[in-house]
Amino acid sequence: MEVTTMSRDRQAGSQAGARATPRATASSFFGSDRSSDVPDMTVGAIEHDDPVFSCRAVDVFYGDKQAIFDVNLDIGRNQVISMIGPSGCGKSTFLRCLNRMNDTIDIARVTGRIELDGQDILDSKIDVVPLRARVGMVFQKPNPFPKSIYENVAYGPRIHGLARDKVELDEIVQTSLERAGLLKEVKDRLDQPGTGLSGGQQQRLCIARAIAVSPEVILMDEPCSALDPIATARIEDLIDELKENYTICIVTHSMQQAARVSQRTAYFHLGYLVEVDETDKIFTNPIHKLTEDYITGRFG
Amino acid sequence: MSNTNSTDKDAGTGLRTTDRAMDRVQASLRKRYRAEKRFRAYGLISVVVGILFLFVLMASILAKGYPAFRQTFVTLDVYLDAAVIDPQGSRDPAVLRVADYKRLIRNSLQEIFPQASGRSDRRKLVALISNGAPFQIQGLVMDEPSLVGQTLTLEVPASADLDMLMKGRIDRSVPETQRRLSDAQIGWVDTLIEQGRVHKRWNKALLSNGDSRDPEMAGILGAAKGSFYMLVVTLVLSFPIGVAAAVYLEEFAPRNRWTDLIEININNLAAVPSIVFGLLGLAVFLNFFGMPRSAPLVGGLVLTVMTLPTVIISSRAALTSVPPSIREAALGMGASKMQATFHHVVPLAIPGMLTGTIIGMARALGESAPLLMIGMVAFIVDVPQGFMDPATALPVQIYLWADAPERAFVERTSAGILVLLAFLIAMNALAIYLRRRFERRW
Amino acid sequence: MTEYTTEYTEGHIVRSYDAELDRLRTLLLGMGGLVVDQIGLAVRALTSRDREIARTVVQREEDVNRYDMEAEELVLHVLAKRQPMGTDLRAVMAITRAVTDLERCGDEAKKIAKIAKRRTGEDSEFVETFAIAAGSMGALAAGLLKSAVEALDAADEEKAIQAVQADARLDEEYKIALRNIHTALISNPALIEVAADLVIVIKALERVGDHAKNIAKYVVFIVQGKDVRHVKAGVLDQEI
Repeated sequence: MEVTTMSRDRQAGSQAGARATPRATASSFFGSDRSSDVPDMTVGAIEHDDPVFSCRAVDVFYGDKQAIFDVNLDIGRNQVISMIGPSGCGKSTFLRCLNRMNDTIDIARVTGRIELDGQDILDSKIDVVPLRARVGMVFQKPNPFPKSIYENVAYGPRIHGLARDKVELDEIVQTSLERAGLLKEVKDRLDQPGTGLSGGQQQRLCIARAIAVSPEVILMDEPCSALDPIATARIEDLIDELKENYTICIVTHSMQQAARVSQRTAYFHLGYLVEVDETDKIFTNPIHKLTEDYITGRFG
Repeated sequence: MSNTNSTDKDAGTGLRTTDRAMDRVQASLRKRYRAEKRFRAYGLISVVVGILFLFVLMASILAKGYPAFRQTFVTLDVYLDAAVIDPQGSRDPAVLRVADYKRLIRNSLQEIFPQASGRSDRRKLVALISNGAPFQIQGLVMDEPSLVGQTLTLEVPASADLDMLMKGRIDRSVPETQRRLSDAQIGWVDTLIEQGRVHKRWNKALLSNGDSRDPEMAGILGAAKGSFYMLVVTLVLSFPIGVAAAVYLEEFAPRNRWTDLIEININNLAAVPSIVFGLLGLAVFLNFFGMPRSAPLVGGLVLTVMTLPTVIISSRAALTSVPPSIREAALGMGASKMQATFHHVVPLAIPGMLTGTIIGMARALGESAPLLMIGMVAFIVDVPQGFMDPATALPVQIYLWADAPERAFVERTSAGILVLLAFLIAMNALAIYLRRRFERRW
Repeated sequence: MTEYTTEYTEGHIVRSYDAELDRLRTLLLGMGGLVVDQIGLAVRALTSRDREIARTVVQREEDVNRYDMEAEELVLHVLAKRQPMGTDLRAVMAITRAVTDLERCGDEAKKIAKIAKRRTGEDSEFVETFAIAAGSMGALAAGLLKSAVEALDAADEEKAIQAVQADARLDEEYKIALRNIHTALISNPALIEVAADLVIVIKALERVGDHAKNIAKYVVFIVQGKDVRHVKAGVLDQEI
């Protein structure tokens, strides 16, 4: 009884170390861009028709070393955009440009143009204080102030003069805590220290704190990396809700999280923005080989 | 303990099997535990020896100083002779002040010992009573002039020699020429004792008088107040300036060669011998600015300069220990650098700053060398009333008493040390209390 | 930078992931080979009227089902454990669909074998002529399926397009055979029983061709991420 054997059409490239020759076909396997190096121009959809941020030719230098190379990116309003990439690719550095937190580092230098609603925030005449009220930030490790929960949330409105009296301030605090999904859990212990909460709660407190100053954009730098899966899930749910009213930029190490939470995804590689597109497309059919390699776990 | 994963004797150079590794560990265990026990024993011994020494020190100071708080008093019936005090009967304060009250005491004593008739005898008799006793009577008369003409039974302080005799410091068995008190004087004292006129009381003078040549009248209040004023000046100046300098250098100043230079200099200043600051005080505060000599204000200024480096260094360390995440959180919310620093970073650093300040203050309290040059190492009798009055400091007073020849000053030196220690303990207790209040967990 | 590799399931940092995907492809190829074999044997059983061969085919259908179950289990495992993305995701989706298609092909082969068992007694001219047509169709269908599965394994788009176009020829032959049967039936209505069975046979072979065409279209899905299952064969090359 003969058995048909399927021939596996293995090329010489399957042998260790040998490089496979490209096929004669028009479209090669890994898409249009077969180079292993970063593309000259970012592939995908850089622009957005209703951008909150519009970044053009952004470079970041730490002393003599360049960390970010010529990034062009629009960030859409009331949307979540996630930034993924291997360690050291510059995604956090880029995120920190958006609220000029890189100013706190002496040797950091940012050039280019970053427009927030049409206004270039890299202009030296811009006051960073109100900028950071418009563009809030949540950090990787929850860092509530060592004050009471109420004080944590009230600090921002207080220094920016957003509340005329205690009644208004109370209201802002309540609303912010509610929007952050924390009010029910801390309603009757607002005067207890913020540091006494669990990790997930602390992070939501930090989110509430950022919301309290009514920002347009919330930047999140790996907000869930220090949290357990359930706390992470609650924050992801929260992000879903928040995007109705705020624009959110999230840097994450977890591709699954980026896939779950964002509508657009940007892939950074060694300081270059390689590809940016709709999340579905990036994770099911990316254009660039580098993106493909990263999301399938082939990188390195 | 059995090793289930022992791949056995790989011939020769093969990998060491797990068996052998565990055996080696076991063998070294005993040595390790022994070494640990030895180390712990050393530690324990050191601590015990330290505590023992401390105990011995404290016990000896207490034993030596405690007697100073008791003073011998002699009960005398003093007739306030109007003829001596106020012959005119004018009750004029000027007259009352300069009356010969010593004579009244002499008269009172002579009534008890009529046999002491000769001039030298009379002198020796009066020498049993303190030189401050006349002033005590003066005070009474000036307060209540109507007392003149009455006989009062008063307890007057005995002289230092009598006090020393009562405290057993004068050896009766020694030949007369080697004693401060002659046989006759001792005889009189015994008589007084028999008459029940000699008592030991609480030595109020030690805590309420200024310095004096007479040990029995010497008190620590002048030095204590002087030290207090100086510390107030030091604290009021060094804490704000030190903290502000630390905050500026740590948070706001750019990092360049100038700031590095400043940092090196501050660190070095902390190690400069304190007498150099005294020279600085002399040159700048006294000669250039012409401030009053021996004033607590000047002493405080000199000590401020001495304490500032300590305060700055410890404040900077406290600021550095505040995690940067707090600053980032504050800045990320749109706080300005000033707001972030003063609302968040400084409050968290306060415990450390306080510790540094207290350390500085404690050092300032105990320093006498810098005060040497500005004139506070001097015999100052009056208790200072303000920051500009000449004063001395506690350690200086102790030094002066230690140097004094009178026997009675030995116990007073130890008593002074006790007062100084009490000051220190009080300051530390305050510091601990303040730290507790400001300490926050983060 | 990463080394370019033709093996679209290889190169992951986690090597056990590579092993799992490789196993999946091996299963696909094994199942494909078995099913292609089944079809060939079933058609031969019919044309040479060999009951033994027919029985073998029917029995081996169990093996096909076993392949099916093992492959689906592995796919489930990979989805849960690895959360595949990009090409890996498309490959896993494509392979699981292809396995279903192959399983259906196996069913068709069994159908043909069962009919072969029934119809061994026939010996008419009609059946003779028909046997030749069936043999040709069978060979075409089997070859088509083999090409499609190989194309999927190697992610070879060209081969896939050729397979899709070959299916058109199979459809043509099906129509011709059907017409012949109709013609024969008109002249000899007594053949109705035989004819009915023969129609089932050629229909089964035509379905095998369709399944093969689907498998070939999955190749495009893997390589380009485009779902061309419903794009007509004629316009396929313009689409990709």
